[in-house]
Amino acid sequence: MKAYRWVLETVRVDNASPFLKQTPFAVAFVGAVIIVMASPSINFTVWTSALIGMWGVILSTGLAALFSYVPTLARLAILIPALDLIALSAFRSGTGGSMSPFGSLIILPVIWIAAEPGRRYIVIAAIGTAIALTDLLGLGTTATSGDLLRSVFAPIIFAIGAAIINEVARQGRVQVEAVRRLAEEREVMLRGADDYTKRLRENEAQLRAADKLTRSVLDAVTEQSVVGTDVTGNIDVWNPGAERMLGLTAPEAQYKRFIYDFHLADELDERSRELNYPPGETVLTPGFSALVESARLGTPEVRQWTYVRADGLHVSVDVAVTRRVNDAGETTGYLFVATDVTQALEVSRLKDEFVGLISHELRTPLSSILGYLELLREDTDEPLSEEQMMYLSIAERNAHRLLRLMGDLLFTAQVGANSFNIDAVALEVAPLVRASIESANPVAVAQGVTMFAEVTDDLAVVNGDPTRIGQAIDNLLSNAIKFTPRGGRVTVAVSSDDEHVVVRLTDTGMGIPANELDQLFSRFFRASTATRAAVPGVGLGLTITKAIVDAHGGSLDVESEVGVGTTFIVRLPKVPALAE
Amino acid sequence: MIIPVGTAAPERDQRVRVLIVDDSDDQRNLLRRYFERAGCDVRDAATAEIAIEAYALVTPDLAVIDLILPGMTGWQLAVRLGADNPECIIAITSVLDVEDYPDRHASLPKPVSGAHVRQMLHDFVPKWHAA
Repeated sequence: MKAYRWVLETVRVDNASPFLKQTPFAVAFVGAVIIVMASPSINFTVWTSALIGMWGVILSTGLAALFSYVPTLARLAILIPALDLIALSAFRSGTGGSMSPFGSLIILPVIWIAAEPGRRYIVIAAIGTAIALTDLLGLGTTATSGDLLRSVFAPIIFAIGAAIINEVARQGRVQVEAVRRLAEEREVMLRGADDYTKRLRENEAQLRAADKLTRSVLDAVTEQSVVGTDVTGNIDVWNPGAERMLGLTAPEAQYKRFIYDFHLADELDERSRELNYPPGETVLTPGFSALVESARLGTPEVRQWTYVRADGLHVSVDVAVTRRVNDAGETTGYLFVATDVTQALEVSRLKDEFVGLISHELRTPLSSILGYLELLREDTDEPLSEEQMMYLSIAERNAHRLLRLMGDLLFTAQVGANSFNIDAVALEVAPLVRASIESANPVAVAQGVTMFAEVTDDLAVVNGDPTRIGQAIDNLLSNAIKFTPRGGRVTVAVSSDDEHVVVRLTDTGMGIPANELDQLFSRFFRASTATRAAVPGVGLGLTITKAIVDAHGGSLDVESEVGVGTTFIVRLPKVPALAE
Repeated sequence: MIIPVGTAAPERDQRVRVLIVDDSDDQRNLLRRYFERAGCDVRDAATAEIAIEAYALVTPDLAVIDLILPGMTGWQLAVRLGADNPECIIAITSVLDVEDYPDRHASLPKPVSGAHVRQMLHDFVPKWHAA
């Protein structure tokens, strides 16, 4: 078994070792020597020559063994058949020259040479044949003319044979090569297919994991409804939150219902009207187009809507609408994530109600206090003494202050609840500012503060609520007077640029520390300079003023330096001057 | 609609007849005093229901109505009175914001002062002449 395997290992058809190739010749040669020795009809005619030949073959066979053993010398293997031919030439001339029966031995080295890749071996084979058939060393008997003829003619025949062998061997090699390449290619392809399958399996596992994650997240969202649709609103995603909120299971909703089935038709119609019937993929359902308009244009939108449950009940919801896109960036549908805000709305409503109630309950007794104080003051039948009148005015002043505080408190609550109204009309700012200055004058005179008005644009017009803007200016003006020491100045300047009407109120007061400026507009905040100087106030005036200015689309800024003064800058969007 | 005044003294006829509807005693009395000082003939009612009975007997020239009342509200009373007596001038008085008042009526937002009352009479009641 071992021997068999060794033979298989050694005898390789495509790449036989030089020793293996030499073996047939060596065996045949040994046979020839034995025949000469045994046969009486054949004798060594020239001993020297025959011996050289035999030694030559021994040498070449030894070399073949060496070359086989040392692979780096394999490229010299062609020397072996060449040596064989030379040895054969000598042996032949030693066994009778042209009469030698061993001419046919020549065929084996010739085949060897001819089978080597390359056309030049045909020539080498021909030359080798000529040498082998010639008495190269001149040791044999005298050559005849037949010998000469043979040494010319035979090599030609051998050369032709060598050419054929060479070609056949070449083709054989080409075929072997082709088969080998094919086998290699198949191997590569097979490996590729294997890799591909493996990658596919990995991708599939990743996809499955991602899908599982998405699904578990969707399933975990039970307080929000997550609904996905295609571009026409047909539902294809319906999470447990949607089941709870809208009262249908996923199989009941998916691919059977449209998202706008769950909206109040009136709300959709109204929104559609507001957006002037936006074009969308769905001309037949303008309500749906309105619902997704913002998302369709690429801006996710959160808006309050009313959902209609499967059982007909209404749910107030904040719905975030976003776009679903494919790999190419095209819109494939929309996602609707809705939060139930019924409770939040209820809380907000209760808060408003509470504020309203409180303001009513507090204003009623205050109204009585102020009213009866007035009756007391104006009682002509029994006029009060001067001292009594002074006490009365103190009581009145404080009651008024209480009333103002309550008004401010109510207003900030309304601002917080976003429920205060602006009744906007085209409004000239300059007269409003003059009126504020006039009404603030008594206080300013009492405080010893001088007021200046600098109106550079007398016709500046804004779109605003006169009461509210008046209130804002009053607040800023009363602050300016309040925080300015006796002998100081308050300047109110009205000007306008391209876009805004600008009112600047500059005082020469105590100023506000720079690190407190950013908190200035927060509720109940009071600057340290104000509290240190014990200037009365609760810290609502600026909050209210800012809310009013913001509600008019304007801005309120402040610049201040402690000990130098403060400037408040009100900017309100300008509208074209009233037609004269 | 003209209701005969009957046996009332002639100088009383010249005075503006005012009906005050307010559930708060203090407020009602305060308003009564203001209007009396302004030279008006005042009746009052603590509820809308009493007011309806009162104006059925004597039609006032002016009704001063508080919005928040027990039972029938000031808003409802204003509508009802407007339908029953279109000639009667209505003034709304309330602690609520003026925006919440029903439209097309005079207003006396609380706290009310004597000056407010006189201004309102001057603006809305032609029959009234300041003393």
